[in-house]
Amino acid sequence: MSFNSWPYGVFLGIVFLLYWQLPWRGRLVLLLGASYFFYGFWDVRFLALLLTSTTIDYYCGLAINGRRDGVAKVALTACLPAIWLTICATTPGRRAEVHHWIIGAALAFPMVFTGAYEIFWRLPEVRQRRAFLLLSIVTNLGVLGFFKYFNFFADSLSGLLGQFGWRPDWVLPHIILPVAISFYTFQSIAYSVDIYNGKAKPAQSLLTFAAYLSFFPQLVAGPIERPNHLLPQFEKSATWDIGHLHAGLRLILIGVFKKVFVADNCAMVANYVFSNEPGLNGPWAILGVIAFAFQIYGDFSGYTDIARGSARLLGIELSPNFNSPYSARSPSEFWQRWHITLSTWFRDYVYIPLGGNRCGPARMLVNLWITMLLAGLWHGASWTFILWGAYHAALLTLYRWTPALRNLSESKEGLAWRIPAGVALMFPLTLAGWAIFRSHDPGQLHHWLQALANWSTPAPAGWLKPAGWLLLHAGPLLLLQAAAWRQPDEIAFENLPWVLRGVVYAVFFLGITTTLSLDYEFIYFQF
Amino acid sequence: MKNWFSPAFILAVALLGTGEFVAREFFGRSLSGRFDYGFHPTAGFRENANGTVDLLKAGGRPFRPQKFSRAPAGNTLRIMVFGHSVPYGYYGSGQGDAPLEEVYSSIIARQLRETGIPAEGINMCINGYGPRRVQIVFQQALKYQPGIVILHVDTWSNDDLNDQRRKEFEGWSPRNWPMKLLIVRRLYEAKNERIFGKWLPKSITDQSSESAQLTKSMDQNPAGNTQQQVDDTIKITAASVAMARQQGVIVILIAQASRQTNAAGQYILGDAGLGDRLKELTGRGVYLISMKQLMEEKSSWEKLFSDHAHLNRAGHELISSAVVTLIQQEKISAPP
Repeated sequence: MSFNSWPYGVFLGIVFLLYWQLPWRGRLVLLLGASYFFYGFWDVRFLALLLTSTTIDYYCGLAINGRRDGVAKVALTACLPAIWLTICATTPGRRAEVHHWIIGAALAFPMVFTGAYEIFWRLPEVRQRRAFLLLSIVTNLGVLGFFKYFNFFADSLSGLLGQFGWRPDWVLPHIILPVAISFYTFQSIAYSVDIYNGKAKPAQSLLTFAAYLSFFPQLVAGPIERPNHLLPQFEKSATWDIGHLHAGLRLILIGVFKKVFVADNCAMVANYVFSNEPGLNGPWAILGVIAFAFQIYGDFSGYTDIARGSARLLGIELSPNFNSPYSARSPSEFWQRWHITLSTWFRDYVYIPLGGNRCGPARMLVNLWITMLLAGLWHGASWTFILWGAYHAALLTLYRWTPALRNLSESKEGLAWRIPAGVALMFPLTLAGWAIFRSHDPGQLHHWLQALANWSTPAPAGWLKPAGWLLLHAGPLLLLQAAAWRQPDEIAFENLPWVLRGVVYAVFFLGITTTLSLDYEFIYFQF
Repeated sequence: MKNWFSPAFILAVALLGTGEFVAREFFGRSLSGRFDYGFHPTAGFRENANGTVDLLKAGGRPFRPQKFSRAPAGNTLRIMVFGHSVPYGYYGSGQGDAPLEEVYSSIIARQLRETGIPAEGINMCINGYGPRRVQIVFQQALKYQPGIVILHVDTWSNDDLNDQRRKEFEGWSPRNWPMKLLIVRRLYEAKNERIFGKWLPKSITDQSSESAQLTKSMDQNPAGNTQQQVDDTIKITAASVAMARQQGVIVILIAQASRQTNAAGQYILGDAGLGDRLKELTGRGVYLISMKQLMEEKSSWEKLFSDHAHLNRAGHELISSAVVTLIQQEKISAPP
């Protein structure tokens, strides 16, 4: 059930109508049920994984805060994933889809987790909190690592061994990547770490935590929320206000426009250029990467707006994730504007714990590179994502160690020309990064680079009209940002006169409906 | 309730409502049949009070604009040609359309007039039409008393796809709700046909999930070659022939052939057996010209094509000569 499909509209409408009729606890039950239904729409089996993560992090969170629950209650909760998988496995038509080893792991989980839980409580008090934190982090990263990276590392190892002439005959399982896993595991880790650091309090109940972790608007592709921002909103009853409806619908309209009109139309040009089409030349290579820049921005920020709008309809505020990223003057500013909740997550839970910039320039550089390589790898199990992380690490290093570049991006003097100059330099650098990101493998990146270097052969078709197509679809996004210039939120154009907003709404509606036939999935759903 | 709708929202609805009203009130006529994708019986025909008929690029039916009288004058032999882009005079991707006077519908009439037979040629063809939609145009055109109808027959068709598209737009799936607004439909079509199809190269439009189906054209799908397609074409053509013969109209069938390439890279002529199958329909007042047979008699037949299926000027002239010869041999004249 994708955000840009009509079933989602019906689903959200029903949830919205029921939500405001219910008391606080009823709302939590509704949100949990709706979220699990929403997630199960993709693949019901992976609800077991979400239940596992919920169990571990809820009890670890309580334990870190010094609260011990009864072993029976813990064990019973830990049985939920196994119960769910058994239901899936015994449902006619689904029996073969749940592997025995997965059911085995789910059956072992209650014993292992309850055992670890009891053992950790027997540790000296000083080590208890740390042990529960590690349990939460290790299991979350373990689940993420296994489901997201097993195939990648297995294939890479097999390829490496093949280089030495050894072709092992082992048969490895093909692991399916569960949707949303990268997002909710990171949110879980943030929950445990923030409780450990005293920045947040654990959820009051398992129901609250389960609803918080699985909250459907932000479950699949973020924003990755911090517990002290989102959790308190689940622990009190929101009051109905017509402003929720207006703001929510406005956000959804903008989000659908960005996704359907901007991203999906730009995707056609980007997909063409990055499909190893023979005979492409420099102008086409540039056009393709610009198209992708607006595709991914429209796609992901559109998703975020719909997520925020959906949550707002329920009286819940989610964090902004974008702030005009292509107006950044430096790589560090870009990361303050692009996928903000992920970049701040890596800053707070990787870069700073590694020592940040407190341990001298050399160590800072190492920390920076580790963080960016991990950020690249987070996006997907592919060498091009790692390369993309390395590229951004290199850019950050370059800007940090080159005074001229640093002045361009940071100095307040001569601001009038520094802003356009800084943006004009940073935008092509961002585009180069997107070329790496968009390429499925190094071979495709090589093909794009070859096209970029080819200014001699004529284009397979004129690129001027496609450039017009791109301008037609990306232009409104830039106008939208111009309207929200200097606002804290890039979609905050409430300050525009209402007449202009009315025209914008009508134009957005027409823009969306003229592109309804395209049906591209959100890019970040694959991460 | 006052606060439920913001002024901006009310304005947006008012703007869309006004646009819809204007579209329906002032452009309703030209948009009539626009979203039937060729399945509307009268779209593109305009009957004037002075007894003339205009063929228009309107209502989703892009005829070559022409004007003719409802009934042919005196003893003029009225020849109407029906078919897709080949008899329409399309030269192929990126090559545009031939001038109407260089298309065989016009050349035939000119050549007949030169031999002393008063004749007028009307091109009733539309790019991309398959047998089903050609038949709908044919039914309407029979009202205008042709003496000869030329049915340019091909097995290629995307009629089913367009029929599906029409039905989808008419359906009540929530996905189609916005399409109930005429203004939305018109913009949607304008964007897809005038911008999408023209601003983006074919290699891109082919990749797009929607256009991969909707922009299928002769360039992508040369003469259809499945037995089912041939059977369907014969069935529809037989029905059209029967309609014409009921009115005593002479029918000339032209079986489309295409320039194909064999494994050795050589050009070969193919018609998927259509020429042979259409022989079943010939008989009293029904004649057949097989493009394959006609072209095989020429030493450099491949030069008669502007691409794999469309004819160049020499190709149109070849067809015209064959038709004129047939008319003269069979002594076909205007009905009394």
